[in-house]
Amino acid sequence: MPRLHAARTVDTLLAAMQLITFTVGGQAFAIESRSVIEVLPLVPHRPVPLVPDYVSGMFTYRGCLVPVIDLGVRLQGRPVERRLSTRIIVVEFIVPPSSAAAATPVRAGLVAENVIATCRAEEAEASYPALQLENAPFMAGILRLKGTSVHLLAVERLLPPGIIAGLFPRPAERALP
Amino acid sequence: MSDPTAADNRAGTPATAATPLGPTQPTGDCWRTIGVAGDRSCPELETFIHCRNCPVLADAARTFFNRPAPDGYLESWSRILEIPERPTDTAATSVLVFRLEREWFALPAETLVEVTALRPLHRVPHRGSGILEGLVNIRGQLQLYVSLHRVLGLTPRPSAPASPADSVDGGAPGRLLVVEERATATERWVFAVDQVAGVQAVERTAMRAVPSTVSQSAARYSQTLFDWQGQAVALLDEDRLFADLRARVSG
Repeated sequence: MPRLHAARTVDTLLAAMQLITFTVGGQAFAIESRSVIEVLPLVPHRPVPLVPDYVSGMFTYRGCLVPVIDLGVRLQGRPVERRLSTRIIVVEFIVPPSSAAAATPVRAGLVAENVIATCRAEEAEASYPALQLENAPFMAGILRLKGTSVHLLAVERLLPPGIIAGLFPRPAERALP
Repeated sequence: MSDPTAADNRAGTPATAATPLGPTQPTGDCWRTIGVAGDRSCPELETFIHCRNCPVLADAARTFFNRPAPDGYLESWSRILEIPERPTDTAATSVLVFRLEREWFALPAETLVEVTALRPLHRVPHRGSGILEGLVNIRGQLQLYVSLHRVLGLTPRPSAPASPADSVDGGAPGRLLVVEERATATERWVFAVDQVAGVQAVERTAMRAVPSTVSQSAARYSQTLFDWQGQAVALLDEDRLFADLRARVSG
C-alpha cells in the first residue's frame, strides 16, 4: 500500500532491501540484512587492550576470533544495556580497498539493543538520502517506518579505515608461526 | 574481581529506572485467560483471529526479551560458538532415498518428478511378463509403470495394490515414484517403492565403491554406496537404469 509512494522517494536500490532493525540508546537503527550472517546472544567476549572504546572485545565465533563493536559506544557514547534482546549481529563486509586488507571479506560482531525484528525498506513511508557527515560516514540514510525514524547504517563504514586495517590484518600477517 | 561494576564497566551498566528499554516483566498474560490458550472470550479476537497477530502479545514478547539473560545461557552459547565451522562440502548431492523390500536405494533428486500415493494399475494385454506392469494415470496422463523390484532382482511384488490405502508390507505406506530422465526430460517412468525416506544431501566424500558381495543385478545399477542412518544405501546409476528400462520395455 505505501509502496507507490515509497517508490518515488526511496531509491531503487533501497526498495528491495530487507533490513534488520534494532535500537541503540532508544533510537532506532537498521542495517541491510544482506550483510548479516547470524544474530547471536550477547556471549561473553574478551577485552582487547588499547583499542578504541567501541571495540568491546573479541569472541570466538565458529572457531575464529571476531571483534565485537558496541554500537552504543560507537553511536551514542554509552554502552548498550545488557538484556536478552541485546544481541550480537555478526556481519560480513568487504573492507574498502584503500585499507591494507583489500577485497577480503571480514567479519565483525555489532552489539545493539532490541535485535528482534526485520522489515522491508519498501514499507517505509518516506526516506531521506544519506547524510554527508565527516565524523559519521556510516549514516546511509533515514527511513520513516511505522511513524519512527530509522537510521540506516552502512556496515562497511562503521569503523574508520585505520581501525579496520588494525583489527583485520592481512592473511599473511595473521599467520603466526 | 572485588568490584564487579568496575570489571563490567565497558560491557554494560546495570539496569536503572530510567532505561530506554522499558519494564523487564510482562504485565499480564491475557492470551492464557481470554485468548486462544484460554476461553477465547477476548473481543479483540474478532479483529486479530489469533493472539499472535495481536499487538498485546507482541508487546509482551518485546517485554520478555527485555529480561536479563538467564544464568548459564550466554556461557552455553559461548561454548557452542567455540566449535569451529565445519566447511560445507560443495560437492554434496541431493538424492531421494527409498526402500524396496529390505534394501535401501537412492536416485539423484533431480530425476524425481513426484512422489504420489499408490493407485490402480491399468494392465496392458499380452504384456504380463517382463518388467512392464502396466500403465497408471498420473495427473491425467498414462505413464509406464515398471517393477523396479524385478529390475533389481528383488522378490517381485505380485502387483500394484488396488487401492491407495493398501500398504506393501503393513508398515510404512508404499508410494509411487514418478521419475524423469534428465537427459531427455521427456520419458517418465513410474514404479512402486515400499517406503520413501525423503531427499537427503550426501557428500561426495561419503560415497564408496560398491562391494562385490552385492547381488548381481543390484550391483549392475548401483553407482556408489553411502551410509544413511546406519543403512547402506545404493545410489542407482540413472543413465544405465533408464537405458535398460527402455530396452526391456520395448523389447
